[in-house]
Amino acid sequence: MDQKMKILVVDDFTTMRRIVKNLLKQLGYENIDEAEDGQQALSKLKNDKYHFIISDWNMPNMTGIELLQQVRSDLELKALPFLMVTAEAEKERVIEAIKTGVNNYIIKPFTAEILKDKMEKIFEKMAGKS
Amino acid sequence: MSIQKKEKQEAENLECVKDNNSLLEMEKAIALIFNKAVEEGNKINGFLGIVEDVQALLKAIIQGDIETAEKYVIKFTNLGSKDLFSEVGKITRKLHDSIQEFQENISPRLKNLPMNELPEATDKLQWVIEKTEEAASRTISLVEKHLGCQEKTSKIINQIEKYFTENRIPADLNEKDLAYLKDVNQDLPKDLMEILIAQDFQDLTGQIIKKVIQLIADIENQLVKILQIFGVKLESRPKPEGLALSQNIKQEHMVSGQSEVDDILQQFGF
Repeated sequence: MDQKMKILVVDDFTTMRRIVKNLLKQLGYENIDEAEDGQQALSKLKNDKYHFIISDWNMPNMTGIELLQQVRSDLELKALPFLMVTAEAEKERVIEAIKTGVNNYIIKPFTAEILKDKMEKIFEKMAGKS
Repeated sequence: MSIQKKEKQEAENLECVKDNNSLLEMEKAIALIFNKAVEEGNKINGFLGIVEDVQALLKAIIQGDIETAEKYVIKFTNLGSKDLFSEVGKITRKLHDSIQEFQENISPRLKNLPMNELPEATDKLQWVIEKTEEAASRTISLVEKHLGCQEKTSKIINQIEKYFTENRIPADLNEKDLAYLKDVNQDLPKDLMEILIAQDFQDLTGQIIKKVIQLIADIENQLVKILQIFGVKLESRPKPEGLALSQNIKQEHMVSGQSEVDDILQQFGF
């Protein structure tokens, strides 16, 4: 995996964004940008080149699952790895996310270990595919 | 003379006074009163008395005895209103009692709800959000600071290591580095304490959340009381244990944590 990759962290809570950002920094990722909802994320994604999305589910304006739908239906963005990090713990939700095309799913609260593990899994899978 | 015959004759006599408009009005009134009387008669003992009065009234009208007829009409009107009033009275009484009971049981609290307690609860929860955010922000800032420091101290430590292994003072190691290490070392316990203290929100917010939960439970109880007092029939079903039941229902569909999510992910080939 490329430590220089640009990661977009999408969450409506500053605290959560900061936590994720710091965890990512600990994992060696320096190039991190933030968005406070799906809408802002989408406009950032369309204007700049990103390599990875980490998004919350419940957000105003545009939710994480809506963002995922938008990303997957966009020709330019559809291959972007998308990691959902959310407090949504219903089975139906997890399955909905999978069906919409999420690359992995983390339930809040989570540890640095889980984040690392899930990101690695995504990269492994992507390496296997390509 | 039998009643039927008598009535028949009286009916014929009625033709004579048909022109009189006020009598027509009376006729209508009597019909109403009669209906009312029959209705009331089923319940009230004075049914026969009313029937007799009605007959007398009819007779008076037929005979053109307006004065007598008027007396009966007034009597009936009074009777009707009395019943009507007594009905309204009963309802009013019931309503009054209900309101009284309502006030005695719940009003002091309920009166305060929309004006004070609910806005207060909203404020309190808002305060919880602010307090937790503030604590999180304080903590994260300090963590960020020391993560940054640690990066720099690592470099300095490497330099010092070089001094020992290579037995020479590295060019970029100087007194400033020592001062930096001292500063960081001095800040660390202070900042750790601040992180520790920042966690005090847990206690305060916990208490407030408990109060809000209590308030919600109270509102639920009071709403049930209102429904009971005002006679809305509640569906008979096992009474849920407050919030616990809905939580249980929710939990059935909830995965217990990351490991279960991982199981689902695995099922889908992740």
